Amino acid sequence: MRLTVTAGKGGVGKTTVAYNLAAELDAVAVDADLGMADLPSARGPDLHDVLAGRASAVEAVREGGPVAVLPCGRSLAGVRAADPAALVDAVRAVEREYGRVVVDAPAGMHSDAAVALLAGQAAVVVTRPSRAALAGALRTRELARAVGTPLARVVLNRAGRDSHDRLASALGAPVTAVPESDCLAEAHRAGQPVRAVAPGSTASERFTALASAVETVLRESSSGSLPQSGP
Amino acid sequence: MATLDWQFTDAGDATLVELVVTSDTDTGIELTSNLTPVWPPRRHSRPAAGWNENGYEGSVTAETPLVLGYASPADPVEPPATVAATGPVSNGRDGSPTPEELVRSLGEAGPPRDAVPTPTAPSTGADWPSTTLPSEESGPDDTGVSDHRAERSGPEDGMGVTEGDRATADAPPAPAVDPWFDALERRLDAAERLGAVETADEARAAVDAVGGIDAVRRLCARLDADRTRCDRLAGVDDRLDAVEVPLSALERLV
Repeated sequence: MRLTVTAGKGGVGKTTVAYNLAAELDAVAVDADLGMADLPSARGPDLHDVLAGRASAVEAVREGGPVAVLPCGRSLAGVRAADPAALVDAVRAVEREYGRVVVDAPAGMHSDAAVALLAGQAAVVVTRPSRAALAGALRTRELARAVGTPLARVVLNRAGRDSHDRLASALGAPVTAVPESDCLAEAHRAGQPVRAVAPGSTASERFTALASAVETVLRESSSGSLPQSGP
Repeated sequence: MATLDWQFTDAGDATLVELVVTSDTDTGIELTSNLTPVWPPRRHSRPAAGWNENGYEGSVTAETPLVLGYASPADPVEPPATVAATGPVSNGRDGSPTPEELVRSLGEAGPPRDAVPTPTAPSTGADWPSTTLPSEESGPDDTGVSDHRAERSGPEDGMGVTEGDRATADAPPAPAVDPWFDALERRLDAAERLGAVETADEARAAVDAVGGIDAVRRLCARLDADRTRCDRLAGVDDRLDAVEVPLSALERLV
């Protein structure tokens, strides 16, 4: 199972969603945001090394934390040496070993964002209720469509109480709203998934529901009954 | 039946090859260059669609000729390439784009080469495998010292300079220099054959073997450039003979 978590712009909570989804799905989180890595890092080989052919994807996975992570390096030289086209094979290699992979994709419309979408069997687009974030989500939906990756869910971070029907209609996928919450911020600071810090919280329940919905979509996708993303 | 027309341009250290492929039917073609190595046109730092290390694979229609161009450090050879029809063209494509196609069309998001500082030492793993220098990007002027111009490579395009290689001044120069020496030896062989002719018939045969009198003129121009480079090399050669690093003394001192 390979799921890509993506966004049209940075700062909308994409990495938080990817990390929490990986925790819910018991998946390896791959930090594919080559230039703006944000998932926990560690010493040793990272995704830059994997994409430069200097390490295998499986040996770069760290299992010690609350979520298994394939971290990404932080150096400019590392980004420069990495071949973004090699990501698809790397993600498949992790899937063969661990079974489930959540790819934290870079924002934007460059090839690194597109290849990360290509690496997933389905995508989750994260956005916020702001004009810029929603415009970015629409662009990313188009990119996913061009690449041929179906859109499983839209996550609306820091959501208000309004209805999200129009957003679901515009993006062509059901919306999971995650309200702003202190426990989410606390979990982020502690480097933990929210279910470990606040198991009964609304945010934790939303991530559980999101994981369940995504699993259903991926099952349908593998049985061939899922249409391509959006109308 | 695909046919080939060609033209050479001498660009100093490289030969630019222009090809026009025409066909009376729509057909797929496989074009193999007789000039090696092939330096293909590039899009976002990787070979343009259809190009590989041997040449090009694509299609040509009956209405529109296929126009191609590439470079090579080798001397012109007549014909520069062979073209083979590979059967009917498949219309449209199914499935998703490949990662390579995405990078070629959307561009890499990484920083430009000049923005990346060259580290003074390999950051980790000094024993990373030392890979070849970029034969496709480095012309004969790239004397093999891995500098900032040495592009890192993807595994698929056959080049490969790691950060570790860039960082070490003692990266092996041979892979970049060898093609130039090979080409120089071929030029010298041809020049010596031309110099050894004694009769008019032999002269005509030798000129034809090189590819005509224009090719002989190009050869002379290249030999001039070779002489300039070799003069410089001779200066280095003397210093190389004379220099001796007192390694054991230095090892005791530091």
